[in-house]
Amino acid sequence: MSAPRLDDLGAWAGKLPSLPEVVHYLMHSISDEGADVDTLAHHINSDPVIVARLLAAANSVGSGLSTRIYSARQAFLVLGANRVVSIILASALSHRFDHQGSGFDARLFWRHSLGVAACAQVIAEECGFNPDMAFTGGLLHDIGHLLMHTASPADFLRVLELREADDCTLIDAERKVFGYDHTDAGRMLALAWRFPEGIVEAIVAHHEPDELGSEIGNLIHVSEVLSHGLDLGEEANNCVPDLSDLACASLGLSWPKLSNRFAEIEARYDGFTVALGI
Amino acid sequence: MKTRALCLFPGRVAPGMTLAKAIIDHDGNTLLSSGAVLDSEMLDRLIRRGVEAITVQVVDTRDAETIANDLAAAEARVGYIFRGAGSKAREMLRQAMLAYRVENAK
Repeated sequence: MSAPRLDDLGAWAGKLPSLPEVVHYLMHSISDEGADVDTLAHHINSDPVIVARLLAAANSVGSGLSTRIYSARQAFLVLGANRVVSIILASALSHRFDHQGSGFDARLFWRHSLGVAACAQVIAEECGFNPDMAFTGGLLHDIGHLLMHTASPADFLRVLELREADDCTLIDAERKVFGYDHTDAGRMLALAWRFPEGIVEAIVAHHEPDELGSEIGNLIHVSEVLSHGLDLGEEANNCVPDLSDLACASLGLSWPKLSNRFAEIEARYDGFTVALGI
Repeated sequence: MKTRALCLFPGRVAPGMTLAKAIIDHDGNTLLSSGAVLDSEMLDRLIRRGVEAITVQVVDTRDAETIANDLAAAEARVGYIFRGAGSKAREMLRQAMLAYRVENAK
């Protein structure tokens, strides 16, 4: 049997568990400076499972705090809205999509995504880009893998085996087996899930930023390469992908300067994985 | 006693640890200077201020041989993960990463 065609993936998007309403709300609120703490907390409180996960994660992020965090509103006041939104998005997504089997390792997938998100946050701060948008873009950049794995676990396994055997990039192995890659699949899913435009760009452009010339595409591309460089996913056969000269130049990046923040990126990544228990 | 600097997320920092690097906020203000010994109130304040990472001093108990092994392992790992050819930007990242790893392993 041949791999599912890209056009058929749209139907599979409907078979994935849908995102909690509060996640949609938060994703769209990232670019909305006017969102206030009470409105955000009100939306979060409508989903008790999300509140429970937020409190667990917030208390581990803030384990040095003298008081425990016991409500969504308090988490906002103590940790700040940006950090709370990041925690909720990451925990809601990683718990909702914990696929296992056929070679797909959800823990590895989310650790890689969090690594890219941590790099994106810091690079965004250096480049004057919205760090929360960058974090979410990093978190979701490889979401197409979920759709490809759901549509055909057997073909996804063939991709992983091919990559191992040829020591080629994942994207090349995907194109050989499926005829398209996870950026194409991610775009289908992002549209089905009504992601904000910036997040769609991050998903579509992160492997070939020069063709699309998108700022967030450049940023997520560079962040992904840096996360491999910092070995954040801790994959034994990790290989740093090629890095676009143009993307680095258009972000105005200087590696010697950014290297002063490598240790901080590693610390943030450690904090995210501890907070989310992955 | 020999010490080394370690950058940690606030959840891993305990009262009594000594800052190895000043803590500067987003606006460039110094919140705490290098050498300050953290107590629970200071730590609480830093978390509330949104500080994401804290660099503290830890005792370095490694002997010369362990340090040499750490250095060799760090260099070998950077060499391995940056295998294959790439762009000029990738090469610059490799150099920055190697310098960072070597400095950390010392």
